[in-house]
Amino acid sequence: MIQFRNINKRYGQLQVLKDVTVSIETGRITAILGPNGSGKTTLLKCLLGLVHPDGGEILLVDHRINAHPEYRQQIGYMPQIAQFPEHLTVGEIIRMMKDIRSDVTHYDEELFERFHLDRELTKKSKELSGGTRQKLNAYLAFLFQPQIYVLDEPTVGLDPVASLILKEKIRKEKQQGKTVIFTSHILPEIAALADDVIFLLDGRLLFKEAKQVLIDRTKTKNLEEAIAEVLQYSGVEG
Amino acid sequence: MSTTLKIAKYQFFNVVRTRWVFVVFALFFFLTAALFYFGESEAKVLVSLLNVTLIFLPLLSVLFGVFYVYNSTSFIELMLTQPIYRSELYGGMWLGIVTPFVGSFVLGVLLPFLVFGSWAGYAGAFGTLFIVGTALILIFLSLGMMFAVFAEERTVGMSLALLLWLVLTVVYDAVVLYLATVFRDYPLEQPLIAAMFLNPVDLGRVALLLQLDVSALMGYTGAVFREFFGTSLGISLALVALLLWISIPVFVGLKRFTHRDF
Repeated sequence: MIQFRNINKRYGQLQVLKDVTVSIETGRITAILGPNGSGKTTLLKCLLGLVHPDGGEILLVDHRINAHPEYRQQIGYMPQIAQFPEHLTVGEIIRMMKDIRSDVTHYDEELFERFHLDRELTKKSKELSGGTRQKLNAYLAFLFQPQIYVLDEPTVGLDPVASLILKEKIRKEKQQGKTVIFTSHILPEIAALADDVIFLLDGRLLFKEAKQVLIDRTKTKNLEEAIAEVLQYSGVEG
Repeated sequence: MSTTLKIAKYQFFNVVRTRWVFVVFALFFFLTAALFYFGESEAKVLVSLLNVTLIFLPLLSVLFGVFYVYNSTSFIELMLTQPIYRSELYGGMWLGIVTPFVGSFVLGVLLPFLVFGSWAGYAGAFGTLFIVGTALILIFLSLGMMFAVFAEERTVGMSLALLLWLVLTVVYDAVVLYLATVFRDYPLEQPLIAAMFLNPVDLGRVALLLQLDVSALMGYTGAVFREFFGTSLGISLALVALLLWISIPVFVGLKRFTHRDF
């Protein structure tokens, strides 16, 4: 379980996260959604150690995360946009990541094969299309078989086939008891993948609920309508 | 191999393939070769190289340091989500950037010199050129990286880098000269030596000129400098000053890098 407790973050005048307390269950897929600038990425970056919260703490299986990087062995991260050193080939980038993660000996090469990355091995990263870069990015997130996946808008930029492969992969990992956290703007995708939904608005936690509970509670037919309903009641448009 | 060295290795591969490193090598290689080819003596080759080393090398280095860190922003983010310390990434990037630059400068000068030149009588001067050039590359790359780590806006980082280069290569000398004219009735040797230590470009220039006969042209001041740098104390102090100029920006940049948000 991942627990965020009273997380606050301010950038200058802008309070990006306001006292966010929420927990993410092990073995479930949790979607974080909210309008642009609602603090989704910042919350994930706090978990990854990229952003230092001004206050609050994050517990990862009952251990408070701190400046020691070891806890990140359990996390595989797929950023929104990936840029790699532009003169390195795909093969070199993969070798570099494997070299750095010498703590891991068993790799998950499934996405390498399904994304046909073998065709790209000798290409320099600056020659890759945005979609291929995103495939490489996804492959690297799953490569070291972590317990937790943090995926920031994972299907943006992927073609429909690749996007399908990635979603299949996410479901498969969940069946193995892995925890998945992802952000998305695509409601049907969230409806199809997520078990739990976290909604952030202006840096505040609006709600966190199991998808089915949310739909039942709002007496609606599907997630889209349920979310529209909730937003209406909290006085927010769109 | 430590994580720092692993990162350095791949950063080296990346940097060595950039146009910048090739430009540094080509500039020094063709300039040195051309000067020898047109029959210049070793001393004249050294003086010509001196100016390129003191002006262009810092400019290229500081700009590349800034550029490289900004262009690597999302790669840095990805690497920092791996179980590594931030200091390992910064150290690895620093090593991976610095080595190709130093290598292409040293090889660019050394290769034509081995073909056309002669060491006799100039070993000290060329050694000094290598030390000064290497130190300037390390100093200005570290400063460039430091600016990029501090300023989140690319344009701000770029402007700071250019400003600093302009101050250290042009403005500083003008100010020192002006002050020396204003206070010409006072004994200025010691303040001038002190002023030199505050600017690595000046320090490099004087250290190199003293290796050549042209220092005789500097008259009484030259004699004072020669006396100062002739002692092992003077040389040690100069080396310490250069080391400080390298380590302070590295340390300050690293400190900021380990604490900032990405």
